[in-house]
Amino acid sequence: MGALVNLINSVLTRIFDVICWPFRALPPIWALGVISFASGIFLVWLFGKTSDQKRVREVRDRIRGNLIGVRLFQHEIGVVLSLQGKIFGDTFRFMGLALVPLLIMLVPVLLIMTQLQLRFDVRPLEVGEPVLVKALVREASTLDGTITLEVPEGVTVETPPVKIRSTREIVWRLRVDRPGDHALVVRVGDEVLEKRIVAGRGWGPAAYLRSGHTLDTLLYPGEPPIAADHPLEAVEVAYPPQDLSLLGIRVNWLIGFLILSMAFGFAFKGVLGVEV
Amino acid sequence: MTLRAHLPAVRAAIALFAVILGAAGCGGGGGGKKVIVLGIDGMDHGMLEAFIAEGRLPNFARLAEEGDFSPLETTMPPLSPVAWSTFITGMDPGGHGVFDFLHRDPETMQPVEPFYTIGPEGFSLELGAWTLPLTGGDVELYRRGQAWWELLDAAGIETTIFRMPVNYPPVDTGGRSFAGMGTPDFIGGHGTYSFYTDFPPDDMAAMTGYVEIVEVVNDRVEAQLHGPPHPFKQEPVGSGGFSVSDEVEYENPDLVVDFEVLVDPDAPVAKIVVQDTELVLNEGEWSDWVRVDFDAIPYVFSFSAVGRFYLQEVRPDFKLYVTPLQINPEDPHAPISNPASWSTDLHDELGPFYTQELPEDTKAFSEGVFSGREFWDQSQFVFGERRRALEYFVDTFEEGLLFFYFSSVDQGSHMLYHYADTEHPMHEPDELLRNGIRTLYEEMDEALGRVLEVVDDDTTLIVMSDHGFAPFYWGVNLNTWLYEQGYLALKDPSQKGRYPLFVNVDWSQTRAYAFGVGGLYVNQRGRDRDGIVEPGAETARLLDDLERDLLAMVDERTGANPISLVYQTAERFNGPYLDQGPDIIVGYNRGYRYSWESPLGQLSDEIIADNDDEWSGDHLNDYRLVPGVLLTNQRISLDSPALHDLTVAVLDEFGVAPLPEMIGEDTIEAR
Repeated sequence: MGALVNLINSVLTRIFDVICWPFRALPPIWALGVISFASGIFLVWLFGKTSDQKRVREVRDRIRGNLIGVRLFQHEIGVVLSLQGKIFGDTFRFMGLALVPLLIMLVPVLLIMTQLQLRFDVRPLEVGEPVLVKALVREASTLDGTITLEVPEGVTVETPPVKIRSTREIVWRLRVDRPGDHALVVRVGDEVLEKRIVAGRGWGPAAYLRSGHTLDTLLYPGEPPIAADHPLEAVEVAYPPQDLSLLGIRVNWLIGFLILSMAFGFAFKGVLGVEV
Repeated sequence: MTLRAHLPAVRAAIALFAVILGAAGCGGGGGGKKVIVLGIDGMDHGMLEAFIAEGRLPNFARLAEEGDFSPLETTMPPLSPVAWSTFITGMDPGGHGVFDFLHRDPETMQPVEPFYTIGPEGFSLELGAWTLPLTGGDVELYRRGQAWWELLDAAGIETTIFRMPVNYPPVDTGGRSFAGMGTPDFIGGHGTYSFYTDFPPDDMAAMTGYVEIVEVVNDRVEAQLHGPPHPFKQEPVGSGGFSVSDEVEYENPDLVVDFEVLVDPDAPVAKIVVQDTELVLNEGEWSDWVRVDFDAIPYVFSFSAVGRFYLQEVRPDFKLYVTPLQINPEDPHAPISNPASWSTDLHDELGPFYTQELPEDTKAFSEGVFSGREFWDQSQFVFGERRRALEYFVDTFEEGLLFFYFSSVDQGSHMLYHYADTEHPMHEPDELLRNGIRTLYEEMDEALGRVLEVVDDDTTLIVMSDHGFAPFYWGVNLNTWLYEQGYLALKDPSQKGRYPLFVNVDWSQTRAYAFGVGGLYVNQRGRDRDGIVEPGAETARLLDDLERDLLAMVDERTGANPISLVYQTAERFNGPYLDQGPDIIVGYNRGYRYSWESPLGQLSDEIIADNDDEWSGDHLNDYRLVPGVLLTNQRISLDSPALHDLTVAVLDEFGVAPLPEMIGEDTIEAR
């Protein structure tokens, strides 16, 4: 299962790398905007293909008609209550019709969001910027042995490791002095594990967690999962958060994506002939 | 359906896309008159002249040679809040109302700060232990009079004022200003550091910071950061304890944030976890700024602060220092800039920075938390931060007036004087710190060099300071002197040095008392709470007697007169606020200053004592002994320019007429 998830993630990561490539010199909000635009269109199209459009249209038309009725007969309390009851019922009918398409849409939405999280949740380090690298061991007793962090040229380990038994973690502070995608190696006895660390390339994919859990592998794409028998459970690079701003206002990438994709989707549903 | 039928939707989507993603370009206007004022607190004329002569300050030397250089007469007293208020308003203390670091309320005889006042509480809604203030409690600037940049703004001149002292909250103009000296830290204090240790300091009760004794259990320390009092919630005082009184008193508990320190079992290194932030520090290392949010009502109402952690020692003793928490410039809860949004804009450009007044932690040094080297490191961080801000302003300044303030020379001169001065009672050898003050002047020279790069033919550059410096060898307790001279009486002379705030003073027999760092007051009937001296002739006679006796004071150990100037304020100052200040301001001779106990009305065994504090340089002297500096790329037209002349000069650079109440005259002319 982990291997399949990793394969899907690898393919998707390549695809999103290609999509984002033209925008690499622009602020990341541009790429988020384009992906939101494409996602909005795609999701509306998918809704059209997976829903019973005829019945959706009938229900929506009925709701619209009854809303007009409420305005026309606003002084007839009995009629208004009856129409409101119908609107209420049709709303539930509409939700029922949308349920299956929404469940289907959940899969691509989740995959898109993991890719967005890889690119817009955190940012690569600036050259010289300190960062914590944390390794989680499966057994606290592993901390009693020797655990070392090997770094390539251009990366400096600034502190000895702090070993914390209560949380089964060992943590170092690093500084990357040379831009690029570097490989860190955590060595536990004879076992080694590689973790990538990225610095000095503007915005772009920065995988902050490499884990042995399948769900983590799905949610945090970018690097292969850790083998189940490895003494390390996870390795994390605590990248700084990505600073996304929209018209000078800071926004969370997830909220930005949801608002933009919905806005674009609704704007283009007529073009696609989809009733939502 | 055709695409044409959906063109409006397509257009709307494209418009939305463009609006959302479009980066709005904002170009500034250019051209026009430019004035840059570099305010360097505490830069001393004598030291500057000497360092220039040694060839250490090439940019100051160049400015003095190509422009002009003069001592700048400071105010009496030569104190920063007084001097900067005079520069800001062009008036003496009678006009702007700032006479000292401390004023006294004559009705209560309690200290009052001359920086800002908090208005009375208005309506509030009470819900059990919760009180929701609805009106009142506004922060107001204490200083009176119009600031010169208000006049420039009214004349349509663009102004940028960065860290001007005695400007909290900043005056409301169309320009931009950021508050300086007088700006409180996050909890409303003057810089309250926190210190966490498992080794209680000797004089813990006298320390002004939060000192928390912690335990290292299983390589883990739990502690709390203290925020301001909860704005809404009240708790019974001493709840949980035994009380003999039936009346329950309430107070607002401090907002707190828990944090933990996880120490490595072997290596001198630790991880600190504060809310979502994790840090790893080696022993002896500082963290960068850390944001800390104090929830008053979770998810609804919180206050944001920033602070830095310094892991001083891991073992054998655990010692962790945290800077005074700062009002977060990104999300300020207090009025630290005008417009309010400018603070956030500056944060976006510069990152987090110290927002409190005078950020160099002199108290941590004086109270033994810092060594001299640690103070130096911390104050160099402050300078570096300020220097980066200067870089930003120099890069973006296009027209109008830019004022930029540095505090490093002043704070460094206060704390490092004894390293360079072998005569000082606190002198100790230290190769680095011996040249500390000189290094600060050299750093200012480098900063000046950067400013000179952008000075063109349309730019007037003014470099000025509010006062100079002198050594502080001996402290004079004026209240003790008044007692021994018979001007002040005690209820119980055997308890002479015991109580501050005049608790032991017999007001019915006291004719004069000292309060604040340089003020002496007549205990006047009708003005002071327990006044006995009649206004008019009796007061005038008493003031003359005091002047004569103060000037005659002799330090028997040195044979010198500790006081070389006595200012009777009614004769020297003008303005509507004359009655708020002291009746006499004392000017100390070189080497002397008020003693540490004196400002808050505490007596001591001796009138004059050696200064035993790291605070070893000062400027509360006879103003003639501690002039500031004035340098400009223009010509200084007055023989003895003073701070109040500079106010008029700045206005005149833009052709703006001074106000009638301004007492100075223009002192800068085109070359």
